[in-house]
Amino acid sequence: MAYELIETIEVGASGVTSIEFTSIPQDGKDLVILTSLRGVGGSGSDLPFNIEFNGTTTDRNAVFVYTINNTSIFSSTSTSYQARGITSNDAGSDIYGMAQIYITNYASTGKKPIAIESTGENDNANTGRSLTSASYAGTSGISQIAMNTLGTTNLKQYSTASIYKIY
Amino acid sequence: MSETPVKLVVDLSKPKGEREQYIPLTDEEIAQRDADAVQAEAERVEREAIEAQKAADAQAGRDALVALGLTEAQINALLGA
Repeated sequence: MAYELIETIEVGASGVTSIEFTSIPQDGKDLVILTSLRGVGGSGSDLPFNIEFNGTTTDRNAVFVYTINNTSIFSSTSTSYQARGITSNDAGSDIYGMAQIYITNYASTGKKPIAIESTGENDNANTGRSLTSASYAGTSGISQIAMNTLGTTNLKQYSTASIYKIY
Repeated sequence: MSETPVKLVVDLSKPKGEREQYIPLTDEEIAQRDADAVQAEAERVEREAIEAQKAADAQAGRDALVALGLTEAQINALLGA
C-alpha cells in the first residue's frame, strides 16, 4: 500500500466557504483527504462541515457519532456526511482542527465504504469531535469531492487540505 | 452590501500551479448552505434535548431507588455504573 500525494492546497487571504476537488484521477484504489481547518462566523465553537461526492446529496447513508466538549455522546443515522473538524476563531491563535476522510474503492461503480474522523482541536470550551462510518451508493467513481461549511462560516486563511490516492 | 462568499475549486486535471480557482457561490448554493445550517442546528438541538431527557430519567430512577432504601453502592452495582 503506497500513498501518493495528488495535491495540497492552502486557503488564501479572502477565506472560502468550501474546498472542492474536481477531476480526481481514477487510477487509485483508495482515496484519503487530510484537512487542517479554522473557521470564522457561524454560531458557537463547534463548527461542522458537510461532505458531498459528485455534486449530489443522494445515495448516501451513514452512522454519525459526535461529542461536544466530551460531556455527552450523540449518535444518529444520517443521509448526509458530517464532520466536526473546524476549529472556531474563538480558540487560541494558530489552532486548527483536523479531519481525515478515507474512501475505499473510490473509482469503482459499486458501493464505496467511507470513514471520517475529525476533531475541532479547540483549547476553549465546546470542542467538537466526530466519527462517521458511511457508504456511498453512487454508480460512478468519485471524481469530485466538496467540503462545505454551513451558514455564515468561512474557512480562514492558512486552512489546508491534502488529497492522496493509495495503490 | 456584503461580499458574495466564494469557494475554492481545485481542478486536478490541470497542471500544478494552474489548478486553483476562487469562484463566487451561486444564489442556489447560498440558499442550500443556509438550509443545511438550519437543519444541522435543528438536529443538534433535538439530539441535546434527547440526551438531557435521558439524563433526567436516569437521575429520577436513581432517586426512586434511593427512596426504596438502596445504597449508592447497591444502585451502582445494579446499574453497572
